[in-house]
Amino acid sequence: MNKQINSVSFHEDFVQWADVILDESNIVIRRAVSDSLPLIIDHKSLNQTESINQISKKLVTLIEQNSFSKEKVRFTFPSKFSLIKKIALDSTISSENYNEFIFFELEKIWEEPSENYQIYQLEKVEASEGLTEILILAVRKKVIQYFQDIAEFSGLELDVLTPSCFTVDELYRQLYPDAKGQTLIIGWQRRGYDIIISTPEQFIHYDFKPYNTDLNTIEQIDEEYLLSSFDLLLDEIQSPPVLDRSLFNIKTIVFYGYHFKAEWLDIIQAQVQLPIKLFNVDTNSAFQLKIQDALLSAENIFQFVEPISNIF
Amino acid sequence: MAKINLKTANPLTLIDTSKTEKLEEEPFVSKKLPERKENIDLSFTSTESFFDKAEPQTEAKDSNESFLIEEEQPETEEEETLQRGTYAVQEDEFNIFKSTLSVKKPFFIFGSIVLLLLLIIFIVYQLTKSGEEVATTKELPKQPLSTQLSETQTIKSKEVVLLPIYQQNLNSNRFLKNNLQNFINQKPGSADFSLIVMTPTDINLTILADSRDQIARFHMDLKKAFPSFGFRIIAVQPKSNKKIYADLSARVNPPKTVAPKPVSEIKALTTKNIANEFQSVAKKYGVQIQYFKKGNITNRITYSETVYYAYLNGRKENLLNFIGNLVESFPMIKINKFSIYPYNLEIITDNNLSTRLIFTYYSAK
Repeated sequence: MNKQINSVSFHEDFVQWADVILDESNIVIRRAVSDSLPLIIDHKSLNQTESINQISKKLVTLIEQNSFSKEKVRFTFPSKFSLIKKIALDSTISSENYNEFIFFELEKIWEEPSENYQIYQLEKVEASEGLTEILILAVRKKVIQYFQDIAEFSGLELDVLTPSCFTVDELYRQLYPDAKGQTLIIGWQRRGYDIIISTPEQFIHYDFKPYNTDLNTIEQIDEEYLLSSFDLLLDEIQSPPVLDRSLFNIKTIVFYGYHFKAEWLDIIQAQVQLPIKLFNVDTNSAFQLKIQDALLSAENIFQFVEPISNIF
Repeated sequence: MAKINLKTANPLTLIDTSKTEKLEEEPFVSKKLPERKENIDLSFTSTESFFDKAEPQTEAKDSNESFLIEEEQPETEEEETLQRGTYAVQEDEFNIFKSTLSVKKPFFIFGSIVLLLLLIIFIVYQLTKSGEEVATTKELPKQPLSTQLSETQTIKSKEVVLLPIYQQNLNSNRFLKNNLQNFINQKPGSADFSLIVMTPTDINLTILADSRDQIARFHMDLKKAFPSFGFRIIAVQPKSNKKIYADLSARVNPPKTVAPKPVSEIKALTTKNIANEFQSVAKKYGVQIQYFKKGNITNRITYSETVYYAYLNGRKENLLNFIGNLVESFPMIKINKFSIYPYNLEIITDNNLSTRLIFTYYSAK
């Protein structure tokens, strides 16, 4: 059965829209566009109603230019706007008491009063004997309301709202269900990397790492420095400084993101012993890709992973 | 699948932290326990705000398994005489009743009918009460609170089979307690603890530091101060732009041997009085119990294991003394884990700390 999906991905300073048809074995991309936003979405703009108006106007323009549907539109927002954490609990603790342990763990990391957040319990996994791991998502209520207001101001019927890391993880599982071990999925964003670690069985980890301590944009950073330091980044992800053990055992690396350039792949591959590939829909994937947009090619799907990922 | 739709997903409801702050200033027992009144058993009311409801079937089973079997026997000659006297009075009254029965028979029958009706009304009234009320009634300790708090009993013969477990428990619990005291009292000065978690097999420390260099320095100092523990840094996590949490972990092995605890000194515990005994020790050391909850029950051939978990507040010394007393007084419990951290989740000082305690209570069948 065919399902037509309009999926919008918000980034810090641009937006992507994909009009996709999904059936049991095909992903048909009818149209996919990117456009810059009139402002940067950050803590400051989240508090300004005017920024909602400006972004809504941009969406309305995109809809008019591309004849996108306003019905049942799906939104992803940058995962760095949320707190994502795995919590290990004794299996003797009954599930009705999870909440206060979750609260205790989150209390250590959030920077606003707890009542400002919505907290969600996602996956629950028996990690080892006597230990249960729970994946927790905390999002500021203001962030959720902000994107709901954008939908409302744009006249869109919002169907799904979610941080992008979970949809990207889901797309990878759907496309490559036979992947083995831990996969490091890196999204090259404007000011840093979205780092997702996933196995076929579960979502393992999310983190955002800026390209440098000054939070410069990718265009402001020397390309040679950026590419030559990838092996250091990988070390830091697997074995953060001062740690006595590796946190992860990564088997494969996958790149996506609008800011990544395909020609960088070989330069990075030369530094790293692990297999690296672009997040495209290739011949090994569980779905066939069909593109109806003349401006898009199958080799550049990795730049539109976020809006496409929200189709499952 | 981790994917979530925030448009439709139900968020979690979290505990009210202001309640914790408020309770900190209140003595645990004095404000929560109602005044005792003649002929009214308030022992349930005294605990219901703090202790979870037990599973009814478990409680019903345990009511036949009390450690306090000796309580039913008169313990002194004086008590024995008093009981004999009571029986004699009851016998006399019965004879008088018997001799006047034929004269007062119609009145007796009428009275019996009235009593029967009253009994039926009472039963119907009880049955129409809410299910919750019925369930909680089953949890009511049958004895007055005061007697539960002061009992020290020798254990029954069937508990003897648990003595090896008690010894292991005592061994493990003492090891945990000693480690806790050592780490709190001999901590290197290069960083402060934010969280201490101990289990019979692991020690996990979280420190709050200004930089990764400070974490590395603390790690070195910790190795010097506690050379027998192979601490490793297993995670770092920024708290804010200025501070970093670091988690350090070490595997530990409790010593194998321990002197046996004299049986006569073991304080009797049952699933009925465990909450009150726990409360009693907490009160003694000025520790406030935020909750005391019952977890899973595992049935073995000759005994059962019941997991309990508690959340406590108190000053550092009070909490250490409380744990020390718990360890020495109750070898039928094995501490599975305890964690100590400050209210403000910054660093552990002498001031108010919180403790989460998970233990298993072993009881003979």
